[in-house]
Amino acid sequence: MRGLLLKIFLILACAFAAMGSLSAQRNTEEAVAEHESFNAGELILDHVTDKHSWHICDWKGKKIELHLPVILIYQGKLHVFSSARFENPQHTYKNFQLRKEDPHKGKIIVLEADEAGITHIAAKKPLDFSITKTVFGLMVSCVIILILFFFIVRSYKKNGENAPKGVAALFEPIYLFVRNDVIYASLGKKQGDKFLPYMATLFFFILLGNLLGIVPFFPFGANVTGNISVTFVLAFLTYLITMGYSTKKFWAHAFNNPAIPMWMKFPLPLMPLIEAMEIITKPFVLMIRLFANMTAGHIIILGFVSLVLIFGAIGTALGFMVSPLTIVFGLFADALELLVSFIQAYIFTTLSCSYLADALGHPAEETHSH
Amino acid sequence: MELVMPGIGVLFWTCLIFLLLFFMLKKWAFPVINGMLKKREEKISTALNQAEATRAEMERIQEENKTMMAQARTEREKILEEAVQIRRQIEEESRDKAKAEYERMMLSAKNDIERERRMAVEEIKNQVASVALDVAEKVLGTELSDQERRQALIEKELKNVKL
Repeated sequence: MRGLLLKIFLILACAFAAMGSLSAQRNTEEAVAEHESFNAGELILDHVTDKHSWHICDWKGKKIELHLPVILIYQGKLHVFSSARFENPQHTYKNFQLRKEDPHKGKIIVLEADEAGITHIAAKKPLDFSITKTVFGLMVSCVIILILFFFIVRSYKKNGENAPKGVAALFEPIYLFVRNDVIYASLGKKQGDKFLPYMATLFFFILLGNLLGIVPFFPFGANVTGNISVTFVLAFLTYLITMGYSTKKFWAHAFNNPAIPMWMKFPLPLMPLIEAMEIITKPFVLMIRLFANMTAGHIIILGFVSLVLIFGAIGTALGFMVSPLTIVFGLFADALELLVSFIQAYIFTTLSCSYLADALGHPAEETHSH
Repeated sequence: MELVMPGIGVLFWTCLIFLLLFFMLKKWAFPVINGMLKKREEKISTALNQAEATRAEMERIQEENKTMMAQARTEREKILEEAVQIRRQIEEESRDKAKAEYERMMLSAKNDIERERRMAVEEIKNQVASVALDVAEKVLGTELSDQERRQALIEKELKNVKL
């Protein structure tokens, strides 16, 4: 019964997500489309990239958006102000400008005047520590994770050793899957328990980031895990842990693998070079995979949504005619994204574990052979 | 190009938020969850062990029961056999006793009869003797010349004799 309810919920959620993204985007962009010719590429990039304010919706011709705080460090000084300060024709505040067109589109730069009195972009850019849309989305997803875990922990404390109930019952199979089939499978029980908190946090962080990224309305839908900075941090942390716990055996194996014939190592260190490259490419691939998958998913959904807007720009009736197609494809893309969300979280965690297992000298296999 | 360029702000915040989340979950959530899971696993395994032990115990008890039943059955059979034997013995004994009694009674009856008979014979003897004497007296009183009369007299006297 519970499984059926969950399925219905997921289907409804998908449908809702598709419809929501449709109507939201239609509302936001139709006003724009009326004035200027519709540019799907621009719209999609605009939605996928990071921003300093969060556009929620348009209401009676007025933009409703959340102005996020801008935090800049420039010439050793800290500047904190709301991004609402940029809401003027020049998008400038003090001598900071939020660029609306190239070069440096979407970035905050400093304007300075030369001797002739002509303002131009200063070569030195401020360090931008703003709470951007991505950072805010990140905070939201972390708060949701914390709330979920609060209920899960409370449920466990209340239930004791009995069978889990409520959120814990939903959470436990996923957690056990991650623990047994991902972490223990490659790290073994002893080492697995040691790295369980990190790997499980990683999994749930990515999963929630992915899932909330599909939800099209505020305060979700920020392209959190499709942001290269976020995936960079995750991959880099895994890399640091991998390197930090790497054993002598791993390095010996990497640079002087006894299974490789001598002529591939000397005089030209062919294999060691490849191995050294691999050490760098592993985290790089982790970073790119998650980023590319999630961004691609968002682009696909937005592409299908844009279909309506493109045809709508030609003629309203045509737009309406295309909309069922968009809904169907949008729904499909959303369902696909739902799947991809789980798969990418799983893959990131699995690969992190397997890289770590490499560095630790495959503790799972050792325990098996003993 | 902006899409694939990591920005320092997001890097910084992601690092901070993720590590914060990690440490919070590590300190507060995972120990509870893992502890409970472990406890439950232990509980289940002990319960399974207990069930196994109980099953073995049950089997042992059943085995015991079976042997006890078998023992009881043989015991019963033995008792029954004994009872039959005792019955037979009692029967035999009583029969023997009865027989002995009967024989004893028969013997005493025979003795009695013998004694009676002897007494009767004695009496007959005595009577015969007295009759003989009477007859002799009578004969001696009359004339014993005639053979025929003598014989008739004897017969007549003998008829008078009442035994």
